[in-house]
Amino acid sequence: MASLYQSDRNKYECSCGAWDSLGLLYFCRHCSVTRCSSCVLVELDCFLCQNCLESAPVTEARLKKNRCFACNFCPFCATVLTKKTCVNSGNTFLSCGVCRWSTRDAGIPDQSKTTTDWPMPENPLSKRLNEISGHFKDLETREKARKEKDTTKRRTNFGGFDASKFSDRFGVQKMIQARKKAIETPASTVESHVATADVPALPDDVFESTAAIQLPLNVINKQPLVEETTLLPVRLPLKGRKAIRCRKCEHHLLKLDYSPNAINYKISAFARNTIPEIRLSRGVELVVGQQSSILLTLLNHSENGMQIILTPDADDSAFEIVTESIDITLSPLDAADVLLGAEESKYSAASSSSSSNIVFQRRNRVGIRLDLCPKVDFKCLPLSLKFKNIHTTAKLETSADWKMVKVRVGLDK
Amino acid sequence: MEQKKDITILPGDPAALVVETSNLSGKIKFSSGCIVHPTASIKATNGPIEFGESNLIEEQVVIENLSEDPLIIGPNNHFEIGCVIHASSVGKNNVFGVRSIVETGAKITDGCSIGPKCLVKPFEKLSPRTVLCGNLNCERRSNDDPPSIASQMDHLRLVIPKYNKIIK
Ligand SMILES: [Zn+2]
Ligand SMILES: [Zn+2]
Ligand SMILES: [Zn+2]
Ligand SMILES: [Zn+2]
Repeated sequence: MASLYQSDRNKYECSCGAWDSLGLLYFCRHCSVTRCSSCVLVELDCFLCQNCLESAPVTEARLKKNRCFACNFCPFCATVLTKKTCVNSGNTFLSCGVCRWSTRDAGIPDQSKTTTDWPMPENPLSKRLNEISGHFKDLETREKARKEKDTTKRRTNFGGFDASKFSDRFGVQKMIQARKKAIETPASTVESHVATADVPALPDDVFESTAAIQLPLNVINKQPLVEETTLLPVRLPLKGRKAIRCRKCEHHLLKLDYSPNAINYKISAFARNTIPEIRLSRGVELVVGQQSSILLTLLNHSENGMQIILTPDADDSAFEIVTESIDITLSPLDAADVLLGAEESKYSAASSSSSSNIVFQRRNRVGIRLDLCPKVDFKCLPLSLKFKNIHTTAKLETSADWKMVKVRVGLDK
Repeated sequence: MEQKKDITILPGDPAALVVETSNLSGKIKFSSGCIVHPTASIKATNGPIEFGESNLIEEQVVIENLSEDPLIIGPNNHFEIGCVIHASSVGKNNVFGVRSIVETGAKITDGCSIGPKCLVKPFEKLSPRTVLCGNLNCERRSNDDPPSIASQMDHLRLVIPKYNKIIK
């Protein structure tokens, strides 16, 4: 659990040179390197409603203005509203389980049982807004056509070559005609707004009447000037789901299962499943000028056995190295063994050249002692971690290579 | 000072279920259909307490009568986990949310819903169907009673006797 709670104590070096904790790194098997959050591509997988888990492709989500039509939240407390059925009429209304607000309070008529999309009142300005957006679309096509005409003229100027004499095999003529039409038809016009000095005054109580109600911010955003009695339910915004790719080879490093109901990963290339984890197993007391030991635990979270060589980084002048390097083999963890309590002998301590530095070995973890002599007081122990794991490459026929990752173990309390 | 227990459980169908592991003291009367969970404390310290039909009193609830007048609690109230009630009267169909507090002398009428951790101040009177909610104790009026918990009560009537000793 300590690896969950203090995951930022020990930093691993990413292939891009940044340092991050192991849990936040990925390992691309195709490039055989680590990737961190700043050297991956994040893409939007799909949109989904966090309440009904209905997913929507990007185009549909845009049409729906990124909101779920079936789910609404309470304008008072932002809890998702539940559908209730009226005993007498069989019609449904929405009600909040926390503050007991209901669509009946807002004077919205009950809907029939079969309605899935709760109706929203029409924006009184929607006709005008559509007019304006249509006008801008028209302007856009005209500008585009004119720009295209200018660029293509230069390219197809063959001196007296008349394209219209040939059959329109590739639809070029059609395209040119459409463009011509776009330029020649008169631009649509919309009524522009006229400034007026005749503005109705705000009612005197406008600042007092609504001030007493504490509403969620996204409700104030949508319904800024409403009274308590005229609040409307708010459609639930959709959430985007991320997928992560390697920046270089563009293979997926993280992708969730297609169905939003499923919580498992389809692809997950977490560095934790490839690189051994290092933890400080006990608090460190360092005395300058005296030989001290640092107790570390190495864990193998991968599905394969791993060969590890751990060396303190020599180019650091903060301490004098006593233990040159530690060479160990770590077995993978078999989840069934943990449940069944299988005997430890199965994970017999593999051959090791530096067994005097091994404190304990249990299943997929090994405790080691690193002796060194500090010259000054230092807060961070640099290590070079060499490991050989079959999982580091995507190619099946090749045998595993030695990989190296630099680690900084935080020593302060 | 340990007070004498004087518990009356009125007969009726369905029978009241008061578990032995609840803390009761003083003169208390339960009507039929009431359910008292383990670790709920009901203390008739100065005056007696009378429960109407089908009240649900959950774990860690404290209901105490500090005045000398009897505290009459109407039917179909739901006291959720950890609420503290020092009211002088409680009507029917109320919901007291998780860890809500009703201070001394407050009067709760009918169909009120007091949200989790909300506070009813001393000697405040809540009119029918008042809703308190949120960390600012927002007050509103509902046009409906809180939803019925009859099906939950039916389930508890099946489960509670299996694992608890019931006061007869
Ligand atoms: Zn990186
Ligand atoms: Zn939804
Ligand atoms: Zn609400
Ligand atoms: Zn890659």
